[in-house]
Amino acid sequence: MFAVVKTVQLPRLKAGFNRGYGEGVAEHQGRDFLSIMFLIDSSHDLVGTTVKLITEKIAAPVYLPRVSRARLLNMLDKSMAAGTSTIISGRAGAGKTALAVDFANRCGRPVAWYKVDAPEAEPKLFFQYLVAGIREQRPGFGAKSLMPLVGVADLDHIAWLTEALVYELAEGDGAGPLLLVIEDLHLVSDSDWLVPFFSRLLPLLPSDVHVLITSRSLPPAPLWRMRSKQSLVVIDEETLAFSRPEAIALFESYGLSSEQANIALDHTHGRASALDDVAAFLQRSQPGVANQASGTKAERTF
Amino acid sequence: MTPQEVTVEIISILPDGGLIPLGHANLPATQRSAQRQELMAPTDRQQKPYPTPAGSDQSHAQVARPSFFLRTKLLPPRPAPELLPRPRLTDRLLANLSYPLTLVTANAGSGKTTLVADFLRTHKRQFVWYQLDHTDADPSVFLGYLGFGIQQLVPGFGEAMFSYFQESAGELAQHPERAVDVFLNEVLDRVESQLILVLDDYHHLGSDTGVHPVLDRLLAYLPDVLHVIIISREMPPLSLGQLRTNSPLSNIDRSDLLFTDDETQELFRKVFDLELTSEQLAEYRERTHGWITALQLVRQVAHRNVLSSRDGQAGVPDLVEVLRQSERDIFDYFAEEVFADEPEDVRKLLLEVSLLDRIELDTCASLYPGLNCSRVLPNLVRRNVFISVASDRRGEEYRLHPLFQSFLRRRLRSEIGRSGMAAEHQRCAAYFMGRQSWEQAVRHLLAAEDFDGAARLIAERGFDWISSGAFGSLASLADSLPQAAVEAHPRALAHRAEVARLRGEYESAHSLLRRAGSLLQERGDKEGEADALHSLATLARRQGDFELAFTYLDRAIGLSDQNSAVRTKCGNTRGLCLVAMGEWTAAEREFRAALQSAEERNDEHYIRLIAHNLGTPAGIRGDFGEALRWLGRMLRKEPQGAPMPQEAVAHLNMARCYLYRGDFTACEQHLDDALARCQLFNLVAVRAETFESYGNLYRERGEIERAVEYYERAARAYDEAGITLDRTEMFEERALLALQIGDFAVAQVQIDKLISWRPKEKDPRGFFTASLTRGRILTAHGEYERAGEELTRALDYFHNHNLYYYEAQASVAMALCNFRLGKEPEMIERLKRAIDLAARYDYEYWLKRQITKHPETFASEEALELLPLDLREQVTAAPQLAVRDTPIKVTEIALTPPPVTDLTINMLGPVEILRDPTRPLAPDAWPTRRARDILCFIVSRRHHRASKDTIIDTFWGETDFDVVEKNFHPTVSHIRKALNSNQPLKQNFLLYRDGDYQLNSEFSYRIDSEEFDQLVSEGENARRARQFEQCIAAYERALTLYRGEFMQGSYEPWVEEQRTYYREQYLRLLEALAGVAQTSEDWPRAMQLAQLIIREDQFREDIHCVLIKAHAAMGNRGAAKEHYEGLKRLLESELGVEPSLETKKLYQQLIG
Repeated sequence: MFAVVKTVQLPRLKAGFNRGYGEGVAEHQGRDFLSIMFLIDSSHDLVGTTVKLITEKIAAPVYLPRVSRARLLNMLDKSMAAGTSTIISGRAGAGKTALAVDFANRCGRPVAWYKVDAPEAEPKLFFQYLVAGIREQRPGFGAKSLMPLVGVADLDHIAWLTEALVYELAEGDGAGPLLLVIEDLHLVSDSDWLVPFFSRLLPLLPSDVHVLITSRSLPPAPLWRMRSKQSLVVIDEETLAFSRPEAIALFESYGLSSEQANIALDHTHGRASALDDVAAFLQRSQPGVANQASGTKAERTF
Repeated sequence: MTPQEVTVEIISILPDGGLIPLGHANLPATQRSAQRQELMAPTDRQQKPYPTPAGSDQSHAQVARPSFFLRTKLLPPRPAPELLPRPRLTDRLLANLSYPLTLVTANAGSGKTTLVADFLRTHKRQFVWYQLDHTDADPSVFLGYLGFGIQQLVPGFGEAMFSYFQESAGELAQHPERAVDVFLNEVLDRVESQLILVLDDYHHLGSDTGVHPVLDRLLAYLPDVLHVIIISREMPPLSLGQLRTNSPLSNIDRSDLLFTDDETQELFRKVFDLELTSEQLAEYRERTHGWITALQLVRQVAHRNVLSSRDGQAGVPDLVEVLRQSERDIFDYFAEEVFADEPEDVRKLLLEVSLLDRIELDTCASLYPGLNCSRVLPNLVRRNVFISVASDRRGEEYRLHPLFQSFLRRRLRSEIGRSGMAAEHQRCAAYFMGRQSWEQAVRHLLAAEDFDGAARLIAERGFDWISSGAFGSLASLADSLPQAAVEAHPRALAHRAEVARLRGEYESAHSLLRRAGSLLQERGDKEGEADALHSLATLARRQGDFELAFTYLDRAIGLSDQNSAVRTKCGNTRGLCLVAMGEWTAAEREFRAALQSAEERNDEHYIRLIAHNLGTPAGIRGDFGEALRWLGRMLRKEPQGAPMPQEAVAHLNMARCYLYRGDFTACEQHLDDALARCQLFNLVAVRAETFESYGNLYRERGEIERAVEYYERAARAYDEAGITLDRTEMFEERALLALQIGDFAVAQVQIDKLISWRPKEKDPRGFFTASLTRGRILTAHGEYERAGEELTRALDYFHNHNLYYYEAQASVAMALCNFRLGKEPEMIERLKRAIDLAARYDYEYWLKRQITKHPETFASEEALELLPLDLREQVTAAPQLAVRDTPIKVTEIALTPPPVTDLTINMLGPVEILRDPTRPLAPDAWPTRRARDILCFIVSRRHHRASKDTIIDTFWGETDFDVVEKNFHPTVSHIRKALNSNQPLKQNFLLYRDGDYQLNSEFSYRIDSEEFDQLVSEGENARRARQFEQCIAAYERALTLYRGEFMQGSYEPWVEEQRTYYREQYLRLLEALAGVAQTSEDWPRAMQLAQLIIREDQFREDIHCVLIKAHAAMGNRGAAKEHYEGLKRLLESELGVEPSLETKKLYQQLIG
């Protein structure tokens, strides 16, 4: 659990912020930076400049979901134990990030986190963030062998680079169990390098390194088809949808009844954000009891 | 239609923060696509534009207002100890108050200031007294003081204006008149009772200043609550002819100010306590011509002579000789006497302080510690020794009589010589530097001929100086320095260049910056050089030379420190260039890094602007959730802060994102907010874009007529902003509207026109978005092959350029086309992509709309499988429409714009006042009935115009004059406010011109009584032309307007008059129509009309006859009889008469 303690030191979201959905990440609180020098570069706009990485993107969120969903956590546990990778996929508000955060907090491994944004369709940038994310857990990761390669990351060298990354993960200093979370991969999923990279990375991953990807849409076909080779587990939107007992548990955390949960579930198709909105709305319209209930719940989760 | 067709709009904001739209009119088309997104470049200055001078009135430096204002400039003069009331002149000033302007022009020492000050005090008027000097020649400084002065009387005034100054320096430099509009809007919004603005010593501004046009505009549109009094030694160079009429009383000149014999006598009697004989009076008149200063001098000398003769000394001056000389010589002669009479220390003090433009006690105390100013100056004022004091509760300032000051300065120079003067000026300069009064300091340095010091000061302090808005004074002072001095301090040169850039003088800015850059390099001033390079980059960006801009930026970054402000600015500018080049992701990266740098430096101003810019590439890509996240950071967190012009753009962009996401409520709210900012800051181009977006919103909501209306408003606003429509999206939006209502011909014409204006090579994005629309129109038209070709090309473009929203739209359009062509596998491929993109970027609303519109496309098993469960249900639930190859043409809705009505006033019946039919005025809009009735009164008068006097006579009658004065302006202000209540678009419907209140003729009105009159006269003309059908139609339409008596429920005499008139007209129409019905034997109609007449006037026997006839003709003899009997009883009981002979005869004939 020491990994969790470490991430708590870099608060990304203020306590009390409990909307566990992708959109929530918008709140920017304290940040700091680390700089990485480019050693080699062929592209004009990055020559010689010091690119500042945004640490917020490589810090695991620390909020706690309202309810833990044992059913899904078990699936993730199994997937991790089996040494495969996992994709959590679903539309906005399906509850992907909340699940990933919950799992990261409970998996018992150091967690490297990387929230992808659109500009990282540029592979150099993607790798820099990825490496920086891992460095949060393994200081100095890839400094010697990997970083010089990142400077020339382009389509022709992706395989090479991926192997270097795997090598560092398996053999480099401080090698050991790791959960690597890549959030919002859909923002770069049209990139040419994506398929060569992942289709190389996932099969070669050391058994104690697990990659957990969240994405609003499934990555390009060749990737998610890897699930037939037992190297990738996909948790899709249908699986992510709240089951009846989960919905009831969620509503309970708001101090609401199971009847209300049932009605809401039918209306929302179990979509996490919609369900949560309904619950929050109902709670506002019948205050008294509810606030107290949510208070105790919050205490319990903390 | 789906909202996706609403293309992201462009307005770009200049690097200087000026809100000039560059998207449309003034840029080559290549840049256009990039500017279809709105970007912000912050002002190149710190967020604190108004430095707080140390030692200034800190305790009063509240948050809301800039604190650089010198309170003392706004101090009214205190009454002179000896003052003669001059009702002859003060009455003229009073009478002139209902005109915009009074001029008081005469040479020095004529008693101008004394007269106006005395007038204001005796008539107890609210006023702002603004004592001008040469530092007020910058429009922003000038308006700033006016605003600040009004703020002292009207709390909260100036909020928008000061924010505008802060954010729109470039615009202010180039178009200072626009700031006047912002100022006037605030006056209309906040000032409720009459205020007099006194501009004292206006001649100090000189002839070459931007203040004159500013004042011209101010006077041309001066609201009724303001009156301006200009006090000047000469006629100011204003375009006074433009003021439509000027009262003949409005100029009080020297001849008016000269003392008449009576006044002279009074003066000597009451003030000087001397009784003049008629010989003396004649002599004084001849000698002084009534010049008050001379009169005072004579009196002073006479007084002293009395004293000295008591001491036994002789020497009565030969007044006759003295008074023959020029006024200055006369003055010098007497001044010499007065001066010589003062003790040594007072003489010294007078000489010293004559160097200062403004004499304040703390200034004097610091500069001349040994001279005991705080005792001597008030004493001099008391003795009226050509020095007066201006003060309010918080401060005071002494003012030397101008002739006396000139006398003292000349004398000082002759005493201490040129080098002594220089030393004194140096001392003053040092003092003002300490007070951060750079401008004063530079003036003293120039007077001391210390050019190097002046240049150094500009170099060091130019930044703050520009920030205070006084760029004009900086430029003119810098230009007055010798070239060598400026070049020795190249940062001064850079500041001078910045002024040129703000003023839009780009060539001069460029060469100045180049020079400054190389001089700074020679000196090894890296930060300065980096700043100059950044400014050069912004110039290159403006010219579209991005490569050059990058070169400058790279050099600037190489020179600057890791965490310097230059880095932030460079990042933002680079991002702006990249957006213009279409490199969204690279731009995003730059903005993000720039944002980090701004956050590190805690620069809130830049954080907000860059966060907004960061949202724009996301918006262009089509990730609206991400865009909203960043755009929202532009907006203030605390609602009570001062609004910023850039917020208009942020609200507009957010509204668009919400529209694409289907959140109409949020969209409308943001549009309302955007519009409010546009109004506040007079942003014409953004307003046009906002109207266009309203149109899109209403189109999306299916409110076609409102959409049409708002597109029309947008078209007009674009026109006003000088933007031709081919540079906007208007044609595309209108084409989409036409497509939505099924008018394909119109849609096709509009889109073809647009495509012909947008060459692919120059504006590929614009070309392909239009092409997408054309593809859809063709599909709707059944031309699938052509549509397919068109769409394939567009789709490729969008895909290759990461324009996801467009790609999703094009994919669905293509799928539909494939479906019609029977190409199922291709269709599925397209749908798959569209649905995938919808999931990635959360286009759920859009996808649902597509499913509802084209359920058949999604109905196949394979297609259904692609959809998430909840959406699948929607397809199966949707009614499966037959394939529509021939579209239904909706012809009822005309796309020709209906007349835009800005204000509807219905008075025939209970009063109804409406702006937008869907947004009623606030329920408490009319706090007083009187306000509403005054509006109706003005509206019902000829030309919608009523003089102030008529209004007062009609509504206040004999009420006490003071009560009227107190109530009148607030009531008028209530009318204006009521008409803007609950309306996002604030407009001034009620203008005051030449003593009349009138409806603003820029707007269009619907007034039922007027329409009624119009229809009646139309009918009459038709009747005369024997076109009876048209006549009847017009009358019938007029009848529908008459909902009841004029202004039901009001019983003022003026209402009764109108009421009688309209009632008579109404009865006449009824009668005429009843006559027609009778002739054409349409008995039921005749009966109906007759009954309406009887309801108004039950004693109309002729009409009763019509009713009896009608009953009879319809075969109802019983009813006819009954009616006749009823009439008989009525006449008997009410009037005591029998039915007339004709009636009886008719009855006999019919019933007999």
